Amino acid sequence: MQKLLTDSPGKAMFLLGNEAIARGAIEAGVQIAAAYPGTPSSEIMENMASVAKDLGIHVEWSTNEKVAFEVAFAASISGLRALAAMKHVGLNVAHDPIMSASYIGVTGAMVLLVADDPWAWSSQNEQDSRYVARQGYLPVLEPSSAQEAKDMMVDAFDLSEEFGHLFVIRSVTRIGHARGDVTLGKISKERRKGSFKKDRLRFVLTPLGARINRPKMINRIEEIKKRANTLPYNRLNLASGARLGIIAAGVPYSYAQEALKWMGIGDKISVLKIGTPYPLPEDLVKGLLTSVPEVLIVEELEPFLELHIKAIAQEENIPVKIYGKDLLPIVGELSTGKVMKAIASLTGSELPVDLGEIEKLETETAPLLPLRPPALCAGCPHRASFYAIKTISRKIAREIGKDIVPVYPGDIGCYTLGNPPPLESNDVTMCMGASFGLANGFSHSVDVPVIAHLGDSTFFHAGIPPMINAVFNKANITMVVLDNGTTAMTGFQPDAGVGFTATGEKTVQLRPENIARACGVEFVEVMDPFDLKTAMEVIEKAIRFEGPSLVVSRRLCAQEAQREKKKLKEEIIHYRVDQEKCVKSKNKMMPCSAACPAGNDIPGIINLIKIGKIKEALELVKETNPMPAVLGRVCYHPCETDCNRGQLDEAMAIHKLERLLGDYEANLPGEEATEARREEKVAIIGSGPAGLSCAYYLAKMGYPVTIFESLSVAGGMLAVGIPEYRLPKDVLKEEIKKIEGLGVEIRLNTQVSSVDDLMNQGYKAVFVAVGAHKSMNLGAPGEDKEGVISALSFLREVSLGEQVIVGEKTAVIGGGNAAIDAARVALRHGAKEVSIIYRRSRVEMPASDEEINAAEEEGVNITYLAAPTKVLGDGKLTGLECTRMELGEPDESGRKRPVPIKGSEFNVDADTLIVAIGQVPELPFTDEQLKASPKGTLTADAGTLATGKPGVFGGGDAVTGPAMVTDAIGAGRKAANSIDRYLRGESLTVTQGEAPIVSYEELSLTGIESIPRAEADKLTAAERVKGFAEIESGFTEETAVAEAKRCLSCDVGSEKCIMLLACPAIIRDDGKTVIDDSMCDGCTVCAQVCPYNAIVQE
Amino acid sequence: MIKELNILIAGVGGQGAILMSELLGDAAVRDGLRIRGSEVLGMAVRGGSVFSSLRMGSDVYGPLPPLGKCDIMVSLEPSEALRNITFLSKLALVIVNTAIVVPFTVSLGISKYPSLEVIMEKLKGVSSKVIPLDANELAREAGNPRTANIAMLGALYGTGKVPIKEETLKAEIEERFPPKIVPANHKAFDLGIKACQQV
Repeated sequence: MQKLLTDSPGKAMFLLGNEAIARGAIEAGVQIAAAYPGTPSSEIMENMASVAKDLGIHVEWSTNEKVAFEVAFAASISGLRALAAMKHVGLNVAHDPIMSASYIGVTGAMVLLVADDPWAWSSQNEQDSRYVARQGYLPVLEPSSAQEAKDMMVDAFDLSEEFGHLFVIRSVTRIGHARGDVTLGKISKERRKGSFKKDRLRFVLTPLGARINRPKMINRIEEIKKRANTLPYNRLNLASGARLGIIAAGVPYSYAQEALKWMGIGDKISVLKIGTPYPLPEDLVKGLLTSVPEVLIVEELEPFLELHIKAIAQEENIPVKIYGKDLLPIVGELSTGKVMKAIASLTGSELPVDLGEIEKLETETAPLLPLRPPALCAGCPHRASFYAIKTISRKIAREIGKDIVPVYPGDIGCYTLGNPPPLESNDVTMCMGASFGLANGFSHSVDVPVIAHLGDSTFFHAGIPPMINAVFNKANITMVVLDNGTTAMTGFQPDAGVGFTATGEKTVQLRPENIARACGVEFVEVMDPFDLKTAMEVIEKAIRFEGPSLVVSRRLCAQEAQREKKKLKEEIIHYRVDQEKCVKSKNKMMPCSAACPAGNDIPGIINLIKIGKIKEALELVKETNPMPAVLGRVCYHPCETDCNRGQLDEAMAIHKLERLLGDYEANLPGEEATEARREEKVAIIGSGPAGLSCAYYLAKMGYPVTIFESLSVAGGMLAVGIPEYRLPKDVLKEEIKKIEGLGVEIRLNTQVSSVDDLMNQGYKAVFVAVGAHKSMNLGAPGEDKEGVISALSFLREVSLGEQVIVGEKTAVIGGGNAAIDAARVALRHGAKEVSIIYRRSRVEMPASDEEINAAEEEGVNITYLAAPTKVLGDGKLTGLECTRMELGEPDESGRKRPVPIKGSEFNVDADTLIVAIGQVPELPFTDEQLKASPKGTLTADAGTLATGKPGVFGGGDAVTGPAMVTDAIGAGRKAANSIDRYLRGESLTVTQGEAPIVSYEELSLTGIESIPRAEADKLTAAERVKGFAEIESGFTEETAVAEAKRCLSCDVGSEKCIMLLACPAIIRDDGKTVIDDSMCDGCTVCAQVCPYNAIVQE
Repeated sequence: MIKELNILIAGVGGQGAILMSELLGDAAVRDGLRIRGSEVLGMAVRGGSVFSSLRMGSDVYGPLPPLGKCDIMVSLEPSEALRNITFLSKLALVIVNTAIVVPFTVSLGISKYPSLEVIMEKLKGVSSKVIPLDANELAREAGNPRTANIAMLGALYGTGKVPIKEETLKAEIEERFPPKIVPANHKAFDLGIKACQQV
């Protein structure tokens, strides 16, 4: 038997507040009860429904609170006792009839139970419903315990009947969901026959009806007001000699009682307990106000009592100081502690507990706590629906445009739990049905796909009018009804789509898709979210459909499904992770790091910048690149070309992030030399990037290093090849100084012609890093005329500050970065016209796109598919004879061979000719061991960098021919490690496995919206050609951190199951991904999402 | 008749913390005690934080124990014990199930789970005694993995501080559960008493 039917008056039971309220209604002989589920009120009607058959009464879950109120009200004007129950926001839905109900009054009895939710434990606001009752002239009873809630319910029905007026009982979470020992009363067995006596003037509220009924209503309230003074729920307790009085209603009254008891001052303070906040027992209020000089109103949420009581004091001219919201918070729940603090501030009493210490403990502990919000259950169909909706809608958005981000209005239900990452399923949630309502508005306001969702119960509650509105008022929106066959969040109550009533009777089962079609929605389809592929296809069609579309995503709630399976003794098929197939990205390479010739740990660096740890990021980059300020300016960033983010919107600005680290280092003192000193001296020939890098890493290992540099300045191509507008001299000087600070000696103006000599001088190892500083000749007759110069010489002379004359018409032959650099430098040196002549087309041009674009912006002309055949002029250059080219078969470089077109000669005027068609190293010290290749480069092993001569290593441009600075940096570090192994007598060979690279397709992209990459300031072309000022600025730290947050973190990409779904059944156990089969529901969604088919049936 | 005894039961949704407080409360009323309580409902199977308070005695009014006044805390999960630490009085007794339940926010990397040592250290700093138990292991011993909460109920009883009779509690268990699983639950209860008294 249902425990609430226990027919033992006087017996004590441990009841939930909502059970006590239901028991009160049962004792009062309620015959009609209607509600819509809403926390913290749902248990009331659940209990009523479970006793309905036994009691022979009608109990229903109405489609919404307005209907519920109207159902109960109709009964109450038919002479019956009726109850309507709802949560505070549900009251808002029923607001319309409530405002007019008191005009009419009742012929039987009606109680409206409203459950407020201070602190919004399960709601979207903290509204104080006493105001609504007051507005509607509905008297309010406010219980302070489960016992009082039951007693008030019984008395409210009697009062309602006595006065012919509706009554409100205002509960809160701490009443409805609190428990207490409750003493039972007698159950009324009276069952009336309902009858509706017509009375048009009373029941028909035309304007005339309103004007007639309102004074009658006000009269009723006045009578109830008088009664309030004698109701047992309002109690005045005057303490003799009291200087302070407390007024409190409801749960705050119990906090006040507790506080006074705990402080030991209960007999010194007068207390007025309020049971009817409206209408107030004014005699009792005046009685307290006139007895003490100070009054504290202990009230939760709004100052409802406070303002009314202050008005009474004013009207009656009572000289009393009233405290309330100035001492107690207006947000959130009260507590015994908060009330104690307020009382103590007025009485000066000592507190029995150190609240400051407790606050300190709270502050200390809070950061340690793991966030544990409620989540979608394992196997919840909403997870699958949201995954499908967001994945497919983002794909469509990307097609529409780079900055297009769909809007996903959401609603109230279990599916609201899809809000946290990774699903981030909804953008706006306000009240029932608002998702469809707001979607209408968004469709006329923003030009992006609008995809709204709500549940089946919500659809029947409030989703139909806005759906009709979309058809009627032409809103191009996609509406998704998440039909899980129940009202899950509030406790699995049935709705109109389930086919059962509150009392378990079979009934018509309504289908949202039929209603949608009947309402004129032209695209209506039903899908099963567990079939992701079909689900996404249907949603795609719905989004692309022109006009309002509706998709029903139908799959039974996981909890209901489990219960059903248990009842039918059906087995739940669990899934597990096949560890052989499961591939964690930790074994894979990130595309950015894989592309970086220096081997920078780019994801690691970005992760540190993301959290603002710039110093640590700098330390990490220096593990593979000793000169981030240089590379952050000159590197051509192949990392950005391969960055996976580039396939979503724009590649990460990795280059500029590196520069930030380098510029940050400029303000730090240099690193100090390492403690451990090794004996073996190492010589490095060449102070370019390869040599400097090798020196840095050797010095860090403790080796004494000497660099031999033939020029008068250190840096190699960094100093004499790259123009200052790309790499300012002082930046380079700083970087080199820092390397020297480690103890590295650089000997300038020192040419090395014999490696053996160095070895004889006691150097135990030599690194040949001479670069490729010898220009290749054109091979055209007349090349020796005055006015013809190689690009390398030209750039070097400019860099060293030597006198360089550039004529007005400059021609540059070549297509590499040296050609572009030479052309741009010539412009800055007085050339009026600069033309680059290149023998292939733009596509084959080896120079970087950035450089070519920059040159064109500055006014450099580029002539493609032409090559010089003769240099013209008498001793002094006057021009070139060129031949047009066409592209033939590819040559050994893989690029199409240029083939001269016969008879296509043409002349170009020029007074300066800069030749930039190739560079080779100068290797005066080759012999039988130290060999040069046919191309003229030094022969060295690609892996160990060892040459044929023991102890001699080679790297950088000297070995590879002209390449990127970053290649040289990487080579320098490799050489340092090889030299170290050589000097320790270890094997040089290092095995490096080929790790696969994380592809874009493997990544978790749910919830990642398009964001353009950060840009730094840049000089305009006009400003640039004026001189050699640095063209590009760097990022500020703020910009860098924001940019770093765009990183997709490819290094956790392949845990798609966890990162995209966050199903609580998938956990990490000892480094492995496993499925907890006590939670797994067998929904198969993770198995469909895993790119490796690593999730299989158990 | 006792004046005031505040008990807090904490855990994760789905572990049966509410069931424990229902059993305790019903038993208390049966034994003639005055009792108030409060809880957070709806977190079952949704994995959110759950806490339920039980307040016995003649001097008890409000539904929530004031901060710093909880006499006994029984937690079905370690971090949940930490979450409710400010309720503990300096003389409190804390019984903690050491089995960790990792929330999805930690799996996603947007939150961190503290080490068990840190949790125990913090709890010890604010209470008189901390009793760690592996309730999941006790449940397995009892023959039914779902009886961990009943084992913890037994441990609570085993402290000797709760003025409810063992027979009343066992009778509540018998009336609440289907006959097939009652023996395992009774066994879990007994194992809980023993485990608590051993520490």
